[in-house]
Amino acid sequence: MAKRAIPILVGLFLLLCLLGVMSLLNIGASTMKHVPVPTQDEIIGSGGSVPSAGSCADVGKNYTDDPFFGWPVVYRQEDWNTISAWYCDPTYKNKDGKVVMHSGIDIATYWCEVGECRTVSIGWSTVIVPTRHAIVREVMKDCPALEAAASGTSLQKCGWPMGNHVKLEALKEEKVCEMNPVSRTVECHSSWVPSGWIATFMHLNKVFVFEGEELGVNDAIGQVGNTGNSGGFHLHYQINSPQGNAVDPAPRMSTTYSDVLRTLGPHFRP
Amino acid sequence: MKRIFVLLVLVAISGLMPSNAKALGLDRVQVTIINNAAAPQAGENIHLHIYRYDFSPDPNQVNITDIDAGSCTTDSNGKCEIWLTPGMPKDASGFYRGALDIRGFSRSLLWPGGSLAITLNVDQLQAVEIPDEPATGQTINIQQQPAVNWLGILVPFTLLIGLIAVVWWWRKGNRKLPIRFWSLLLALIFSLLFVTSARAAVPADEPDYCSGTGGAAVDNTRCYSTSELLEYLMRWGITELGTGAARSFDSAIWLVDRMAAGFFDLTVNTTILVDIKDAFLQMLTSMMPGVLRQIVAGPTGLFYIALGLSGVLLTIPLWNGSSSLVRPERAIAWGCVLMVLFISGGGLGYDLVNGIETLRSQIIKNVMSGTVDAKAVVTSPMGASDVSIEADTAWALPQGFQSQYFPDPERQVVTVYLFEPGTPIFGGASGNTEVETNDSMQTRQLAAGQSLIWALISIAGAAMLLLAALTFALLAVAAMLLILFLFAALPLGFFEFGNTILMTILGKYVNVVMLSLALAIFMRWITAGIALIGDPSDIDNAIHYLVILTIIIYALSVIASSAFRLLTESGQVFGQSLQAVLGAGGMGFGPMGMGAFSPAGAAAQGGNFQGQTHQHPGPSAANEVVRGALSAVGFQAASSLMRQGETSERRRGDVFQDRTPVLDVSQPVRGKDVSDPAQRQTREVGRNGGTSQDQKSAKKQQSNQPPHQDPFERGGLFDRPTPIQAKATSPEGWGDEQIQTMRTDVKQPLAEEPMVRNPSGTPGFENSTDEAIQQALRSGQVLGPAPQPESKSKEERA
Repeated sequence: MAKRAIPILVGLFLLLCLLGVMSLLNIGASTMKHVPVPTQDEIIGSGGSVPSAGSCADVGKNYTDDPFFGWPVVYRQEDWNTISAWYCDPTYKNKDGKVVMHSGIDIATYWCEVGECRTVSIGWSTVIVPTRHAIVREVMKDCPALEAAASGTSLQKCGWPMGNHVKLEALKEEKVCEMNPVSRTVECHSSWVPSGWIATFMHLNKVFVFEGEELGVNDAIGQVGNTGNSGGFHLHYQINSPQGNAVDPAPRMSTTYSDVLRTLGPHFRP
Repeated sequence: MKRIFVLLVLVAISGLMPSNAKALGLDRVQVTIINNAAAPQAGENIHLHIYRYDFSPDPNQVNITDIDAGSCTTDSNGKCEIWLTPGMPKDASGFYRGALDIRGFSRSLLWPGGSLAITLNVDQLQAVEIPDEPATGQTINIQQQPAVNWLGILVPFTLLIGLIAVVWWWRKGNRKLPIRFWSLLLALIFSLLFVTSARAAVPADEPDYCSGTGGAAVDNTRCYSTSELLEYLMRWGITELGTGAARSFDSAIWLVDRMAAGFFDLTVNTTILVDIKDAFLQMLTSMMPGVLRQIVAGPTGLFYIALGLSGVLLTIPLWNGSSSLVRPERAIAWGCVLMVLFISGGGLGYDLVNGIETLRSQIIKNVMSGTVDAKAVVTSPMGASDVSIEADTAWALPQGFQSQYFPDPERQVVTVYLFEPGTPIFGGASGNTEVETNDSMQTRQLAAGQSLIWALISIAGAAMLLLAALTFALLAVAAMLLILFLFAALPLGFFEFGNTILMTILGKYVNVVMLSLALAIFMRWITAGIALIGDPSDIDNAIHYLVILTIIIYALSVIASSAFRLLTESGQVFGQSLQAVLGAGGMGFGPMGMGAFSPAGAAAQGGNFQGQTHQHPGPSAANEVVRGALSAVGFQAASSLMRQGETSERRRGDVFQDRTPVLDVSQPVRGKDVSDPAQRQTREVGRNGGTSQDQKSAKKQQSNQPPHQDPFERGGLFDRPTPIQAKATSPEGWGDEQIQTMRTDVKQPLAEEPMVRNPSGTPGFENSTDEAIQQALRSGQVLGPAPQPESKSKEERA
């Protein structure tokens, strides 16, 4: 009887050891570097009205009526390595480790290649208009600009959370046809009307536009910066639908749309 | 040949697995890790997560599933790649959304499929944007898809099944396993490998102490391999087993401690013994006056018998100056005492006895009461302040003791590598878990061992308390027993033997009082002495504690033994006294040649205690008198003892004057052969106050004796009929040493040697006077007919 129990006991022991080892395969929460959030009294300047957040239900959803498309910066276009955070990124967590909604997409100016890491110069980190026609709805340019991205100066307390930013409302083209009473013909002409789609460019270093200015595709808006809620030079690019909710910009930034954007020619000004 | 073929096939399959896995998909992430100096970083463990979004009709309810997409470890060029298995989810636009985990940081990835080459600077891993507070937007629920390393589970599990099967097969006697079994087992294993060739790995989101990633420095003490983990598990199991056993042992000891302390408290500090004594005396007070009145002053009362008997005895000349059975003045005085103290309605005698016993108890309590609590001998080593025992805390250790010697283990997070990085097929699989630190384990082992020392010290204290309580209880029982015997023996006080019984009882009670007082003083003294040692918090005090307790326990065991002996002697005092009385009757009147002892017989007939009118010989008649008296008072136990006394051997001498048993050389002892030298020596040892050890030695010597010999051969008892020949245990005669010892013995004062008082009845001494015999004994002269040498006898025969 005792001899018969030996293999069973050996098996149970090995099974217990196995279970003990496998119990080690736990999954922990990812770690993220956090910096103190400035209090309201510490914030310098007007932060402006933060656009509404979006829903994760819009992840990957391509709204065909979204007038914004293409890569919004002139450097490393279609280089997805520069995307440091995307819409509804699960790694976007607050200091408590709780995932919070990231309603835009972050495009960093810092990237590495084999053998070296680079930071695009401020002069070439221009943000451009990713739509055919837009009007500047809101501008905040109070935060001082940095001449070098690696200066290390913290501007997080300036204009928290958006820092220097620009809000563009895309204009949509509407054709209006009228009867020419003289020629007795129907004449049609285009008219740019507000579409309700708002693109917000946050954390800018410099802002080149002013409120109410109409901009065309690839026009320069400003420079990628590190103002407001920012831990490094990057552009927070966020699109809000006419209904007010943010949508995922990524589907409209793909190669197809970027190619369209490039065919329209460079209109940005450094 | 078949075996080789099967093995080759299986090896080929296993070798193809990685390539198969890679061929199944084209999507991959190529990672290059460098630092600020652009130097490639080798050995960096990287995990890839892919997120799947599950939408529900509620737009605000989205579940994100975190899928472990694999891992890799950078090579010397700082490169590695992770292949995505088919079926990895993409979003609605065909994008992969994921993240790379490296050194505890997450780097988001977003790419539209295909190959994504990314270079990361480990010195610049940080989030570029800090989530605002409070969080805005919807609540995002992220579910972790079980990142189970199926290889890690299935392979060992399969091996385990195979091992069990092999053992089972081997046990059945089929030592040689068929090739089919091995083929099936290996095929099963490699099939599982193929199925699970996704190279699932455990994400290392937590600090990795093996590689120093995740914000953790490389710490070899917190980096475990599988074998080290198993070794730890074994050490931990042994530690848990040892500490658990020690805890159980200590709990049992503590329970015994509390029981001993409770018993001591119950015996010494409560009134339970006094209450029992009061109830006992109350019962006697209500019962005894009537009984005594009936026995003493009833129609056949002992008072009248004693008076009549004393008158009769006055007319009879006593043998050789022996004491009379009853004296008239004693009978009268004792009758007055009985009447006044124990028979009249006042109950003064009972109050007197009760007062004396209460005084004894009160003295003990007063002596024991002090600033030092004797229970500290168990509470102090165990670090307890309370010795109460409750049902739910019966096995609970004192809180301070528990926390000091059985602390909670200290744990730390360690990294365990199930498979080392770079392991073929398996890749690197690791995880973090909590294990007990080595220091904590060693501390717990040491503390558990120390707890056993304190437990042993406390059990020594418990033994001390138990012995003390037991001794007090024994003394209390002995006191009550003596009181009972006192009341039972009161009617016998009219007679001389009754007076002896009463005096013996009083003597025993005095012993009880003295022993009680001595024990109380001793307990008070030792508790005060132990308190001076202090708290046994260090090993020196503990050793002192243990040594002193051992000495005290030994002393207490001696006292307890004395108390127990006193109790047994108290229980036998009645029987022994009666035995002595009956023996005295036999000796006193037997030699007178009286066929019947008239007074006693008359008393027996007149009293008609048993309703019998038999003519008894002298001693039997006296027995009937006493037995009838005892039966009258309802003391059957004493009567029974008396019956036993009838069958015991009869001794010579005046037991009223000297109760020590003596050797009767004048007539054979009933049931024993006095010619047996071993039996003679045994009795002699008893006469000289020898201990039981001496008796054991005698018995041992007896067992060494040759078979019985005729005493008339080779210098038997009657060949050399001197009293000191009772010690002639050697059939070969005496040695010089024995003779010298005997000569020394016989020079003792004759007053203490009643054995030679009436030796004239001994055959061969009929013509010698007692004075001559005693004078000869003083000088060591051999008396009586000189033993004839054996050779001479032979010559005479010839």
